[in-house]
Amino acid sequence: MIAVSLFGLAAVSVAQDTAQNTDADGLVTWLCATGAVAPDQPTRQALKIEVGRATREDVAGLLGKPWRTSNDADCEATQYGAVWEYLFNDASGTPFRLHVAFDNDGKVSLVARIPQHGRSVVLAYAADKGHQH
Amino acid sequence: MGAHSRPCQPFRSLPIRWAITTTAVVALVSLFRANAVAQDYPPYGPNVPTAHFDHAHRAHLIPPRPNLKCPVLSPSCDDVRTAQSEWNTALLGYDSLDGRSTYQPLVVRQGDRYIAYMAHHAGCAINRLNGQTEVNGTSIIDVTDPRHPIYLHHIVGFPADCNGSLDAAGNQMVHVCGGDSLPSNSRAEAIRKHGRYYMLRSNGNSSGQPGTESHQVFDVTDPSNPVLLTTIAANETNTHKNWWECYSGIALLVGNDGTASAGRPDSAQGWQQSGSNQHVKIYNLHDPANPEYIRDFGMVGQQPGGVTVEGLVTPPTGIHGPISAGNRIYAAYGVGANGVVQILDRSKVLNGCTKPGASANCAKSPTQAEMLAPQLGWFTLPGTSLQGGHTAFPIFGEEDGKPRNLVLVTSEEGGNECTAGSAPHAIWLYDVTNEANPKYIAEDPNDPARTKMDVPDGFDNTWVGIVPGSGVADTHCGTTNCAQSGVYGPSVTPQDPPAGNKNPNSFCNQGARFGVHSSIELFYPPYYGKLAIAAWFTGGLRVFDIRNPDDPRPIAYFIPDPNDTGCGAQGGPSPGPGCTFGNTGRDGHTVNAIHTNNVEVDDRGLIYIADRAGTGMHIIKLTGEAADVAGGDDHDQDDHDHDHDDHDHGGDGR
Repeated sequence: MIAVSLFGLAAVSVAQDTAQNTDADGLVTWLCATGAVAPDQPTRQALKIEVGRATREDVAGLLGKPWRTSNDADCEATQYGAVWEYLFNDASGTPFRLHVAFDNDGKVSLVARIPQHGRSVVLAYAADKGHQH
Repeated sequence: MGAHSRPCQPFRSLPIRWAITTTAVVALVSLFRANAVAQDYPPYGPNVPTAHFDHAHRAHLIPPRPNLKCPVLSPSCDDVRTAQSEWNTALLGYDSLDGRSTYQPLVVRQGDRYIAYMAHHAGCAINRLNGQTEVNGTSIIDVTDPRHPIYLHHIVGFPADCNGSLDAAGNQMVHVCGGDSLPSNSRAEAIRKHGRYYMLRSNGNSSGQPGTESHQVFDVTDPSNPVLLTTIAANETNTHKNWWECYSGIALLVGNDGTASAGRPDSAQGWQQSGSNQHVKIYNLHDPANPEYIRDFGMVGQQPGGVTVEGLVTPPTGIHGPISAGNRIYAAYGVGANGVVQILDRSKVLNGCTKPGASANCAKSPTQAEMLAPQLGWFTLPGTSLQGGHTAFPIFGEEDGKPRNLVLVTSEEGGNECTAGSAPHAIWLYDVTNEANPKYIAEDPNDPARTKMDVPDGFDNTWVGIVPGSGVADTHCGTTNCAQSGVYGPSVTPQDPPAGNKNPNSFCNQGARFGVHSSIELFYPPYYGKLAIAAWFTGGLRVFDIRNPDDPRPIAYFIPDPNDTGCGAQGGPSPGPGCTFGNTGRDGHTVNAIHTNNVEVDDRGLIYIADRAGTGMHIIKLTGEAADVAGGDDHDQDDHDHDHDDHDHGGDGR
């Protein structure tokens, strides 16, 4: 049931991600790896982020103030998008991060869950317009 | 040691008003020399080492495969990242830098201490020293004992508000000069600066707020308590990779003046460029608290109203970073595309607008002729429009008793996971002994970037996913087939269609960029002309043996381990775990892998790398064959304390 609910949330995010790619395989991988344990509250919140539409304010409204941020533009900052990362512990006390990337228009382009070890899981993704610098 | 230095005349190129005080300045500098920054080569001192090139045929070494998080990918172990890997290198020390994305490292001997200044990209993170979330600025670390770095201070970036501008600020570039190295116009000035150290940093990275940038000077005599002295070129845009000559005070500041700078006496609006919005503003910062504006400069055609007559695009590409040595300035334009490297007569650049007959507005809006007057030569790069000028590092040397001068040029990889259609960005060597006719050397026609100084994307040292490509037609790259290049195709990583048949073990499968970014810019004599040292993003630190510059070969690398477990255990009181940022590549593939961004050395020969993905700072020593090339045995290089006077044998006053 929980897994189904999680998929439902993801589907909302994916559905709003018109003509863009998502990493459903990654989501499945994460569910399998965690044995379909109840997803934590922060991850449930993260799955509400509307990729391609959500702004920084929207993300802050769902997840609060980020633990740290980065815009690694060297000299053309407006060509780059920012990254916000949130730091949480899961039910077992193991740290993980929620990673939210913004495109250079300030809209969320990707949401991922980064475990302390192992593979990151992309929860939702909108193809980046890219940059070259 | 194989290198010796050629003393230059640090004051001969200065404007007259400084030159007339030369005698007094020299006396004062001599008086306080004992407390000067120890390094005597650029940018700290005027002495340029001389490299000794040879024709020796040396076996080409094959870099070993890097260590992997999962040696065999399987459902139970599906981490594609590299683990710490060393080839003729060893890790000495580490600091997490609180997980901040970092651009330039700089390590300076201040008295009996070695102080690292780590310049951060924009962002916000928790300062371990006070527990506060601070806008990224400059981290200052005591690395006197490289095995036990001590985090001293974080100079907050501006605007210092993580709530209002969470991704603003950043201070990517940093230089430090000693007050006793900088010349003085009066005894009072010399006394005021005696024993002091000054840090110049670029400030801000607009992030949607154009015209909020500047350059800042801090007194860092007490590196734990820096004091802001002055702000230069307020309301600038696009600040970046500055250069500051400590022996003359000349500062080449990269940026641009937009409309927000109007009203500032040194505002020079109307400069034009393709790509990066940058040219150079030149000041004398001999008295760092009191900047003296000299002029603006760039590639001909960048000046207001200028007409492009050189390079690949109109208007010309913006400058990324200049390096001066002797009476030359080497300027790299284009960053990662449409690259041009320009060789300039430094004296003519500095004095061109004060000489008789200069146009009335030469400093801010020079004529075409005034832009061309200092230029001695220029060239494009193999692959032309597909490669950019990021760093142009001069190597003055001799071969068979005759002068042979080179420029080591890097482009910059700009896309994550080897963007389809982009060329692998690499290093090239140019022979500029004849400055008017630069010649490309060390060419490998089988390499996508046509150079022997490259790193294949496959862990097995082979190329994966390369297809034929070409840049725009051009004849100024110093060889034939200027436009010919290999480029990454649409199918490089397992994420790309069609499924299967692609090697997951690839530097292109790490989420972040793979390719060169920059080389060292300091003239450390034991490495100078022997080793080319560069940052290669997911490829880590890369070192090439260039003693025979016509046949360079890879000789060392170091790839750090991603920081999965947090700043605390490795870097100090923990601001939290998971310090390596994720990066997203092809088809949303997100990996928190290593992202070695910049590299520099100190005068002990230690190598410092900084990570763009927030992994921190790694302090590395060379071992084995790489250490042997530098002329030393494989023992701790932190025990080295080279007597630089040994290298001061006189020379041509270049």
